[in-house]
Amino acid sequence: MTKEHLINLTSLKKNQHAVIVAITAGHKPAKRLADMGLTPNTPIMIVRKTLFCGTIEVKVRGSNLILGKSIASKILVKKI
Amino acid sequence: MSDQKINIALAGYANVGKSVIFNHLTGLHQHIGNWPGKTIEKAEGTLHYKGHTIDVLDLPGIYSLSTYSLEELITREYIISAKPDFIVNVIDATNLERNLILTLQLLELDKPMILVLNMVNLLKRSGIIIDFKKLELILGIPVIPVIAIQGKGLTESLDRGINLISQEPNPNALPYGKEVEDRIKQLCQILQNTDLPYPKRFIAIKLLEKDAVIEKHLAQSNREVLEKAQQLNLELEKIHGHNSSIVIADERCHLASQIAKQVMTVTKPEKISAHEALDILTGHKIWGYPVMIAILGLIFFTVFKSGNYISSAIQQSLSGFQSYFYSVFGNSVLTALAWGGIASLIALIEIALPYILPFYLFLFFLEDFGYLARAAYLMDHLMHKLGIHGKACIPLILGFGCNVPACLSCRIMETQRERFITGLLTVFIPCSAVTVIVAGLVGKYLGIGWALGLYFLVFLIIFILGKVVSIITPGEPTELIMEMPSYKFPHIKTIALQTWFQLKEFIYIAAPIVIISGIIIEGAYWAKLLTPVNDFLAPITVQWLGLPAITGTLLIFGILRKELILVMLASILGTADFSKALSQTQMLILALVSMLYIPCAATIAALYKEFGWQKALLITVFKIALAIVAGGLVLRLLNVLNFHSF
Repeated sequence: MTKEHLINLTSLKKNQHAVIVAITAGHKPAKRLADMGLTPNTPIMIVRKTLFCGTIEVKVRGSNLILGKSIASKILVKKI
Repeated sequence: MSDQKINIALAGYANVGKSVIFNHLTGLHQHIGNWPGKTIEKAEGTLHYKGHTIDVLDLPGIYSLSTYSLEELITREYIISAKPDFIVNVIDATNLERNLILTLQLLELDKPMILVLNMVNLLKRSGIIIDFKKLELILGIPVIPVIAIQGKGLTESLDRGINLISQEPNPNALPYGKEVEDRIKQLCQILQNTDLPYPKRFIAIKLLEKDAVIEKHLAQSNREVLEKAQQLNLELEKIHGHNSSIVIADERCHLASQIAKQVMTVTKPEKISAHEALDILTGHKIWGYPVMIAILGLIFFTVFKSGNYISSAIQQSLSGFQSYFYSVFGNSVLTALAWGGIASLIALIEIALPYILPFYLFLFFLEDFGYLARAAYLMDHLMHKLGIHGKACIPLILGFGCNVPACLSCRIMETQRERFITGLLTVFIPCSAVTVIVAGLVGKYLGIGWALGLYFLVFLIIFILGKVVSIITPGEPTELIMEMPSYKFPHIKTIALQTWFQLKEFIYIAAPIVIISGIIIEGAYWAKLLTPVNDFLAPITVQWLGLPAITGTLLIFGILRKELILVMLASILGTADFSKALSQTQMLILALVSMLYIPCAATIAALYKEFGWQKALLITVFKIALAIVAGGLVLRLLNVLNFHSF
């Protein structure tokens, strides 16, 4: 797995599927994401986005979550 | 085992129907207060069931048992210290896998527990089938399918919970991966002589998760355990390549996913249903916004149109009461003081009933329906510019009507930090009473442009304040990470009960504050202190703000209700033609100061209820200071710009 394949969650489009590779946020938000089931190797799908790539709604582990722009940009994924 | 006292605690995610179950069980026998020393809501209630007296506690909605938020810490400490007879873990059956992650953490606390799978009636529309018996076999604790809004499954839950009390808790061991389990065992062995009230396995797991609270506990007594934990954490990080706290969370996710896979079958969901169509519309990147404006506008106008109507109806029906009161009790200092107290209590009722009651109904409806999460989703980007996240748009918009319900709604924000920043910004939103002052003074005598200018200035102050406060307030800026619940029709009785108990709680807190301030102001009036007060305030009102001395009194009466500033001015002048007493500059400054200065007594009470007295006092003092500074600066700016006052 090379670096080029990694993109940030915000650059995915609606209905695209990906797998989480790494989370580059600080300890607390990273732990929060992990506690809610967003850990490395978890499949993730974009349900929808607001205008100008603001907020993202994703589907993870069978249910939907909303992620603010700044936290979403710290989730690195690999497209599948 | 008849007539036995039983303590149970409801725990789970927010929005899984915990409060519906709580209200079903306890009905009117409940009490809503705060956790000692904290401004987090604590809902307790009692029920009598088959000869038992059962005390039910509704724990705050949480996502994990880490120490990410105060709510999570409270839940953990409560379960350990109060030792409830059993825990009712309520989970959303349509969101089994993620909810199980919390269930696994609750099981680590090693207390008797039942698992209530709520909303099983919604499984079909999501195309999910769950094998409840198999889930029970895997977890080793009672699993009960429930439809809380219909009350189905609740007696079975109680029966099975009560059966647990006489038994030894015997949940199945649910081991994590080998390299993690080995390290948990190693830590458990050296934890033999610790006096922490938590189960050993829980402490060991939390140490591997680098839990700050547990580490702090052990830092004094058990340094060697801490050092061992650090060494083990490093080993785990070496094996997995990321932080050991993430490794543990990942193990839990993995386990939850394994269990969900074994008990759950997902088929194709039914065709797009009404709630999904609604979801598509309300979350749409363009259409979502007009829909949101329409919904919030509808609430705004319903609350304030009906509020105005009912409020003036109450006012009219009580209008003869004052002369009646004086004719019965005579006209003395004492009766005047008593009237001061009664009048402010009436004023409180005029606000509480017509405005706060319908508002709470709407707020709880939107929250339970699932709309608040959509609003947060749509508004997050914009609200981030104020240093807060999307949900804050609700209090801020409500603030235009009345700051009191707006402050009370700050509880929808997740962290204390966000709640405080939102509350601070909310009390700067010009409420309808302030709008009356601005319209009656500036709009009428200087023109609509100047009135809009004042609004623009206040918005600018709010914007700058949001930026500054989010930088200086301790704590990390919160990232928006929240569940997007699917739409579901709320349970009306729960909403009615929640509204009733919130309203009652607010009146209890607000009544003493407004009555005392009413009596003090009336006393000052009788003691002929108003002229000395005007003189005392003159350096600020006359010299710094360039206002007539009489405004000192007005601004003090404005603490009770902001619109009194205008009403009192008219009654002192004997005319509603304010241009006879105030120059245009003075009108502008008086309106600006009224917009910014001290929140009214009822708002202070709301701040006190939501944030505690220290923060309420801080906000109050800050507002007064800001009003004085801004008023004086604007006056000098107008003078420099040679604004003609006449």
